[in-house]
Amino acid sequence: MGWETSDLDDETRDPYDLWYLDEGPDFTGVNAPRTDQWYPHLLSFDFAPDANMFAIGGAVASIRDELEVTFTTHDFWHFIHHALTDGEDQAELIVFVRSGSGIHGALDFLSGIESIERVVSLQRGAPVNKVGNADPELGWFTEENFRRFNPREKGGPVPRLGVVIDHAIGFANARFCRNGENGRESRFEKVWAQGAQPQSDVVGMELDNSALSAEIQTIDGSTTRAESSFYTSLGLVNLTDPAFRRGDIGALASSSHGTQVADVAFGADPYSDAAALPLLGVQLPAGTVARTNGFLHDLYIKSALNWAVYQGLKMNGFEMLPEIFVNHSFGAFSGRHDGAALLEADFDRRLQSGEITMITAAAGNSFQSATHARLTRAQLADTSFDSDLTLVVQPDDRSSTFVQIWADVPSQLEGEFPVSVTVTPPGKGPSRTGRMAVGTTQSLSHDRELLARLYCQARSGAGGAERRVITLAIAPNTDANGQPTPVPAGDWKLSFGDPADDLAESGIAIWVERGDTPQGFAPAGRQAYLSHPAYQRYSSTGRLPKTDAPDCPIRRFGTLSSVGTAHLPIVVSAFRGSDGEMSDFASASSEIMPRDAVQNLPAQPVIATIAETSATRPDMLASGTASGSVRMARGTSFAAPLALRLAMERGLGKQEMAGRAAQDEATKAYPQASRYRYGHGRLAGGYTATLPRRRAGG
Amino acid sequence: MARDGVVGNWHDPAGQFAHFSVADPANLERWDVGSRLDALKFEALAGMRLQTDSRTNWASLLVDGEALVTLNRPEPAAFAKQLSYLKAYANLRLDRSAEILAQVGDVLSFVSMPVSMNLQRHRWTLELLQAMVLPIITMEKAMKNALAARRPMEYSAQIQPMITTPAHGSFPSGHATESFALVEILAALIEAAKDGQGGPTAMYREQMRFQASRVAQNRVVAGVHFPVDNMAGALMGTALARLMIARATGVLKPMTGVQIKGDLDDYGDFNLDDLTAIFNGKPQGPFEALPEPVTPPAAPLLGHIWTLAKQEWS
Repeated sequence: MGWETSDLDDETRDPYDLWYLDEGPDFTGVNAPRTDQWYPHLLSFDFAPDANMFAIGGAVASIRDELEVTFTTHDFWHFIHHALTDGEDQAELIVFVRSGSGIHGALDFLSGIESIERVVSLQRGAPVNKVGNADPELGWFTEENFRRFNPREKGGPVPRLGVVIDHAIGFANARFCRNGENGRESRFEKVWAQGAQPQSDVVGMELDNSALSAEIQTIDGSTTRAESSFYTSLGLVNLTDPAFRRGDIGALASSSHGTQVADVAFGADPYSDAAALPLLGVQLPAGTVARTNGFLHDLYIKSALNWAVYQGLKMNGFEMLPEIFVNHSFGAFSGRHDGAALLEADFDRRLQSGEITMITAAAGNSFQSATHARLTRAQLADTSFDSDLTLVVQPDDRSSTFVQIWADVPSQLEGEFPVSVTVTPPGKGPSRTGRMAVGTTQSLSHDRELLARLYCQARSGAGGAERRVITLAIAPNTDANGQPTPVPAGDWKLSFGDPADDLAESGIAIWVERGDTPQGFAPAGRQAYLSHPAYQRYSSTGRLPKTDAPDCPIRRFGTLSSVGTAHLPIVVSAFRGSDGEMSDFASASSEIMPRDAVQNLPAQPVIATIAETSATRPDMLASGTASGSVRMARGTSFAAPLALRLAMERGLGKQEMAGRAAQDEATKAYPQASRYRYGHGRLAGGYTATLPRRRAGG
Repeated sequence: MARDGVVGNWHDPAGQFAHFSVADPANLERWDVGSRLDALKFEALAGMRLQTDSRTNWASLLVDGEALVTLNRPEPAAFAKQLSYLKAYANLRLDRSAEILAQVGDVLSFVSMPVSMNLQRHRWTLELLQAMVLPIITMEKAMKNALAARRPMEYSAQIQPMITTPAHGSFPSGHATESFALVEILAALIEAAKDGQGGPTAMYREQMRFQASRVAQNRVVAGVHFPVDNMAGALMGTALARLMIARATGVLKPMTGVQIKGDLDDYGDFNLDDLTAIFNGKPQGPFEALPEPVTPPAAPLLGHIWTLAKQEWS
């Protein structure tokens, strides 16, 4: 028994696919795949120059009749729209493929369509249990309808639209209602519950404003129904679904992330002017957020944004695109960190084209979490420098643990990872020494059960360079019944050395993926973290350090969420309102972070906003799920929507927000902090979770 | 020695002595709480009887021979089907744990939250509640004993209740019975006290019903009851409380009982809509009114305590 090397059958295939979604013998995810599930795939198309997109579109649409593949109206609209407007003979389409059918049949079918030069599946996501029988609305897809629309041409007053995308959202909360003629009306023009039982929809269930408002008014006028019944009666929470998964209880919990984030961004007294802002809501399936490394939910976010833009157009008769404001309060500890990953690139494209007006993104909460390390080429070459790291894998971890190791190399470098990476699990032998060849794996098994695997792959980088990544995947050390598996918990040793001469000076970046269990979900993951003799978890005075130890590879700087490396969103960090101190959890960028290709600047937060009240109140208040309730909220998850709220209230764009933050930074006596933590500045301006007033007459 | 020191020579007692009237309700005020309560309980249970049928698995509470509440015990398969609700509701354990633990022994504090009872200000109300609800609990236990329904943890080892499963039958739910009985009594008391004085009395009943519903739901969250147990308990608690109120207030008009008739295979989750409709005479699936009305017998002792309690809310 030892580590065995083999070739990867698909060098570009994402390792998470094998560990979360694959139904093959290597599958080691916690939740076994079930039949009758439909997996989203992101397909990337290359077209022949001057291809007739409408002919192609019709042929692509026929895949629904030929195979167990379907797609939504809004995703198909984007497919055609981008093919016509991006000018790059490329487009992407999200399709849902039935479990067991396999994507290969679909790719073969699509490849056979004239003028499609290449089609590949880039990524998958968590499955939904069912899709509906509804046909996408394809009647609108005429050349004339597409050609007369250009979202960049805006004349006259443009309506605004707020978009909420999260798992559990209190749609019935009074903070998302306005006072109407017949009583309380929902501000949500439409809601899409992606994981709900399809009614007349392709994927999930849509509820329009009249259905939402009618249900709210029924409850308000009833002496027998509490607000919580809104979610069960409309099918937003399904208590009897046999596939019910822990976490699906969603908005029945007294506190929910989606409600709090939405409240900070868009919540308003129903009688106030602010309640005039219409909203769109997308409820993510529970399965997409059950694994906190974020792999499973990217496609649902992308489809949600496609849906929001499509609904915005539809609401305005396809004549005009409203100004769409979106907050993204999800993050990842790991990833490319160069703005080129799926979501980051998607955000940038939409903002660049004007499809979306503003996106705020949380900078992340992993400053103190010991999940990031960096070893420069000089440190790797210095034999006196202790470059070994310990990966502490916690016991009772029922989900897989992932570590990514990234290196930038000139593309002409021989096809191997430019640093020797050796993994030694507790009580077992080390993986093979020497630099791993790109396109290979090393697997550690015990009695034919896969315990851990290293993948070495290559990705394109900026300016012709190449990025190489080693992913260490470790199977769960505890099964669903709480029994230990053969995978050892404890200290896994990561040894690095033998740097190639052409390795970039910045060296290698190591990220331990987020792996804890989100609140409300069945206990699954526990967060693995890094350890090193020089790491100071606490300073000599017992406080949480604000800097990095010079001789320790484990870094607090550079922990910016990967989504925070998108170039155009407003990336928001957090600070404390009482004294201006940066929040202990607020992630930071660093000089060594990958630079964007356009401005050659390392990604960093744009601004910081208040997400904590004081040292004794390290949180802010936001609405609980039910109307009139208030709960504590903490994290950059709430700094980002506050920035969105302030921007909308003050009528400011990204540059102006940065300018105001710089002004506040210069004029307010904030304590010293690194700009890699707050970007242009700490923007003053708070938020109060005001309770809605009672209606006159009680 | 103390007596010998002061008693002096014996004198025959002089003067007229009058008895208190026999069975005068006002006598109650002379006794200690425990003695008072025993007398009241005896009156409350007079005329009550339990009738059962082991072939068709039903049990009926009779008032002077007429059925007031008839419950059919669901088949095991129907109970098993309800396990999906317990599985789903278990997700709320973290959210509700403080309430569930407090409600193991105390539901009154929660149900009466909207009216904010005070131990000193509402002492007669508290006694009235005991006098009415303790007999209801006795009848509820008799019903549980007769129907002998298994608890959820007996159907699946994965329920793993977060509190000790009580050592009595599952169906009907005692917490639901007691909570909804408390609501009926408190709401009726407040509405009677404030009759004609205005004020949002209807809202107190509504909010107390929501609290009672939450108490009942928490038992499903805790893993010790099925949703159908709550429906049966709410029906029984409401019907018996209304009986007590009628007897105490002397409104002895025939009143309609309730029954569960037919199978409960497709019963879903407990909800107040169904409960309200049934008592408004609208059948809801297997739940409907009993065909023959019941005439409540008078209860003068209860009536006296009712009057004293009502004054506390004026």
